[in-house]
Amino acid sequence: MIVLHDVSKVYANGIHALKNISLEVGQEEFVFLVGVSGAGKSTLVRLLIREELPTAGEVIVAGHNVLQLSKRNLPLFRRKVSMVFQDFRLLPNKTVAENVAMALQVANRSRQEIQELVPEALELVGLTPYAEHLPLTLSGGEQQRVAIARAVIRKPEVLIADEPTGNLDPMSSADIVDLLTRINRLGTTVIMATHDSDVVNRSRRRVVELVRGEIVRDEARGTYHYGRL
Amino acid sequence: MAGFSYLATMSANAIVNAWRHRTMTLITVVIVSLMMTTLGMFLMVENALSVLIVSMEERVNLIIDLADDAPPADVLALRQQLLEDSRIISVAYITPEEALARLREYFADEPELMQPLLGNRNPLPASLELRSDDPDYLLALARQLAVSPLVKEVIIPRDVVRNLSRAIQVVRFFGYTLGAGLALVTLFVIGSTIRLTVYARRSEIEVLRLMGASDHFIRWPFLLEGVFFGLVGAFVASLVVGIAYLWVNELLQQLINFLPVSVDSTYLLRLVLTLTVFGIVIGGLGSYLSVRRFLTI
Repeated sequence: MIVLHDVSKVYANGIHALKNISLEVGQEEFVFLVGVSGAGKSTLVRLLIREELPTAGEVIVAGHNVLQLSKRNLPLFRRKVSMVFQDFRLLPNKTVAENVAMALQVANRSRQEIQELVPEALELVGLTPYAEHLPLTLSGGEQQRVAIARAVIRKPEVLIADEPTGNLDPMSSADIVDLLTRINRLGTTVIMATHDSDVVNRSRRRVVELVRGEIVRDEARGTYHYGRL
Repeated sequence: MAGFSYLATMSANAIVNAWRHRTMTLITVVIVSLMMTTLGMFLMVENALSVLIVSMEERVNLIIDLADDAPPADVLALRQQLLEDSRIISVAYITPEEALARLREYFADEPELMQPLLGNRNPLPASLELRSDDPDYLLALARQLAVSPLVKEVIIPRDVVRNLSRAIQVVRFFGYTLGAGLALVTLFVIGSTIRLTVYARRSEIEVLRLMGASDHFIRWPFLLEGVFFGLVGAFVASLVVGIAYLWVNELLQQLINFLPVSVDSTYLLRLVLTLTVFGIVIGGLGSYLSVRRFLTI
């Protein structure tokens, strides 16, 4: 599903953000991407959604080589690879249902499809009663669940979550990780970049650790810190 | 059907955008309406002058008073020669009797004025009346005919035509210059508003982009918003100019009833269409330029 082969990224200011990284993530896997700030997690995430291009190496996501993606095919690629952000990035003037529907509108789906799929997605994240609420009237955890509903409504092949629990309390964080786990079980590959040791330790999933742009650890059922809970 | 639904979604997004920053929308709409009303007014004045000059030109007769002793055969030959001239619309031979009858008709209300002037004889000469839609040619012809032995005098109301021609040239020049200036200002105003909208919505644009929205999906609402500004401006301008047109027509009909002033509904329709097309083009172009420059996808 995701293949990185000898990938390096050097920014214009000379910072070597990633150094010769190789990584394979299979279909329906759940991977935590951990590491301190500046380790290269965000750069890796940006490469996976083609917000950045690698300086060297090959990045293949959901069957697309991101280096060879044309401008025309980029939107189609991004409809297969969904993203969840730390700051939710919801549209404050649209209701919860409208925010979720937006993911289908950008893909030019019919009104009928939107009317069928939005309630399903809201049910999946447990927000059916809040469909007509505005995002800012909800708690942080609820807003993140709206963002997740928006990300999964198109049944993406890959879901990339960049610090999705960064702004949440421990209880809400646990809820979000449970939700991502359920989505993963439904067949979506999940990559979650995080600083949150609790959620990583509790989940015991594959952990990939980055240090100064290099992968230093790749454990099948890992913890946040190597060898200890 | 899908295309229609797509356009409906885009239009709805455009209207929502416009409503979200309604103060800015209101300011833009007022400025665009003012610009387009001014432009519409100029188009109307230019048209009124054109109508007036055409009617004056149609009335322009080069009157050639014939010499009393001009041989009839030579006069006929001259008439034939003028008739064959393609730049002359018509040539009419007016006998002294017809000329007198016209004069009497003109002074029908005050026949006493005529009596001492005319006595019992007819002092009016026979004449040829020419009509042409080319005032410059008429002037040249007048100079040429003035020296003919068949001609006693050539009369042409040249000043009126010349002054009107000059007036319309001046109005057209200022109208087009002003029109171009107003178009530029309108472009700038719409472009600036769209630029602010793009700036205000930059995080939303970012999210849409990452969700896989196509360039069209992101750009069209902005373009439609610009078109919307242009259309509202055109509507207001059409309304104001239309009312002004009807009002001025009525006033002119009362003041100068000898001029062919009448309400031309096809002209009004053309004016509204011109303003509408202008609004759509200028609104779309203004936002297109702004979006192209400030919206990177």
